[in-house]
Amino acid sequence: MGTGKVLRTSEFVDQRDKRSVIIQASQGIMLGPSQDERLEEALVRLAGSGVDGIIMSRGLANQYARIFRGRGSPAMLMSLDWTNAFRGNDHPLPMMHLEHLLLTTVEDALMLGASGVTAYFFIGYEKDEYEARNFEAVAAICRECDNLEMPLLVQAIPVGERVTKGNYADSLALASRMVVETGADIVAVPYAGSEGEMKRIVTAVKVPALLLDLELRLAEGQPDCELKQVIGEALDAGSSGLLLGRRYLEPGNIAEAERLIRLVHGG
Amino acid sequence: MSLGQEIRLNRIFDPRDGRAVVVAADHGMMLGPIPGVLELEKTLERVVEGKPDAILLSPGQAESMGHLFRGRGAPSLLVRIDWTNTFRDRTYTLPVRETFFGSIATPRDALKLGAHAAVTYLFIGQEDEGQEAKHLALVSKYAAECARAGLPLIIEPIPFGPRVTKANNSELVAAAVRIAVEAGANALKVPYTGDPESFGDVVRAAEGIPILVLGGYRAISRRDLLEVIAETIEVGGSGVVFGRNIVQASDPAGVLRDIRAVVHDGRTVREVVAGDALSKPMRLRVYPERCSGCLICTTICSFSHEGKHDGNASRLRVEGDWPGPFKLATCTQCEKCIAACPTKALSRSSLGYIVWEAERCDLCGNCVTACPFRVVSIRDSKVKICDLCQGAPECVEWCSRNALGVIL
Repeated sequence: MGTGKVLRTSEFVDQRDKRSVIIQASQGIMLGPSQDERLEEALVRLAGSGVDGIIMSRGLANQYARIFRGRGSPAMLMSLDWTNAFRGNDHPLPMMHLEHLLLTTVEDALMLGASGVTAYFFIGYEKDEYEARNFEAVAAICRECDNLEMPLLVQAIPVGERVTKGNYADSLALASRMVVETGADIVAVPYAGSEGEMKRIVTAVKVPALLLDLELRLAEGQPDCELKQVIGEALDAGSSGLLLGRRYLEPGNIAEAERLIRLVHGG
Repeated sequence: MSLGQEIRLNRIFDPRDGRAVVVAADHGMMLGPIPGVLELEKTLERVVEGKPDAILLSPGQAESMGHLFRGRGAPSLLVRIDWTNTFRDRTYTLPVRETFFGSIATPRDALKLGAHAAVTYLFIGQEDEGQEAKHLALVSKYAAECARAGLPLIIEPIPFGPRVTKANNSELVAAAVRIAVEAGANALKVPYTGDPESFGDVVRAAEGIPILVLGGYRAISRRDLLEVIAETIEVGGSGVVFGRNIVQASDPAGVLRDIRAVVHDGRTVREVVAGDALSKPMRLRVYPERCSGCLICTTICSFSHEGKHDGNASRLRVEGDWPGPFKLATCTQCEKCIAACPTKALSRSSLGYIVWEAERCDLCGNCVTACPFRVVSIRDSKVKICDLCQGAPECVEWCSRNALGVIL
């Protein structure tokens, strides 16, 4: 990892405890606005509460620039891709076939002042070709990130009916290890089912791993879990923090997000 | 300014006050291993303790000093992308015969390194006007590349060469600043023009682009250094880029803390220099054996209180003829003046010095005759007694022989 990657990573991974809490604020590009959305208010409050990074889409980044001003502020991470995977049954257009594509380049993100970029890698597609395309896209981002010294966070997520209770943890281990071997600097993985399985995955990836908050059941075998109950297990298993989903930007959940930030950073 | 430039610039200039305290440590590339940059890593570790907003390095040093810039509270990294031999005067190895500048990295290289801004010179005033044109072409190219890369460009416009005189220097600084702004500077690093009025003109020439004043000179005292900074802030400056005054200081973090107090915390120079002493009673202590009779103490005393260099208007006195020995007469706060005052116009302040209240005074002169050291006087219908410069005595600050000190 060169100087540029190290410095940029240090803007969203706290250097005192090497942990990080990142919140995703770019779901609008995949799902539309959430009900009762007061995004700016939520982001300002979480920035004040010590959230380390905020994932933005390039369009909104421009409007919320002021949140990222100053060395104490959270770092901006830019979401490079798009997927319909998170359109659940309550969405007006529930997902029928999983689609994934790239929207923004690493260079654009760097130009816009991002300290990191994020991409999705799904495993368990109905057609293996889609997995190959998704992996190809992630690998291309990795090469660009190496060239520009930009840290890459990949969210590795098992999806679909092929991922059952029996192979969930193995699928997760496979997906996360694949993206690390192609060059991801940080991974975010959903809860694997137990502390033991989390530990196996965190150990296998060799790079910092965040616990990914999934709001939807994306795979047949995805374990049910309450984030506040499993975060302790995940940290004990050696994970480096949390990647929070959009629900924590809703007015009623911000206090809970603040509790989770405190918990991760030594509370 | 693009979004990337805005976000990065705001990690150099504190968004709460729009100001910045920057340390320059890129001298090695221009001057060789001068004191302070010889063991750069050790120096910078001490510099970082003083919490500068950013540190300017050459690309090579930036690569190896990365660990100093890790974390959100850490200083931002500025990278110099050009080079010049201009500053290698007669005091350095291989003094220049002909001045040159050149590009040593691109804005993109700086961005890759994790820089929050690229820094470049812009010289005007060379005898060969072609040089100025070439330099402006280079800087304009940098500005375009920086805009594309989302990286702020800090331009350091400097009038240089035989055509720059004392008389036209301030005007040329303002001209160079305006040229730099119109070429695309996002911030400026500018030499001090010597007085607040002309620096105000320079600030106006910048059309709202923030100006950092550069050191470039070795300040006589810490107070002197801070006063220049306070003057520039007063007329709209946005902070400092100081190099040698910090990296060559015995206590870089201490100097930085004082500078930050003036730039970011709105403290006055007097408050900063006096520090903790401001809350405790104090008095002057003299060491006559160290006195060389230079009279700087009486000169600065009259200047700071009366605005003129007149030893007779001073509130302390040096007795004796050169080569000495000399005697120093200062207020010892013996209170004989207070006892002699029939109208209770004199009293002690919380800092210990004697306070005179004009409304109660009938100018009888008893205090003047009561003073055993003859350091109380009446001039222009006012009683003049040492006020310890409200806690930061100038005579102590200026005496190069430490013949004057303060006892708390």
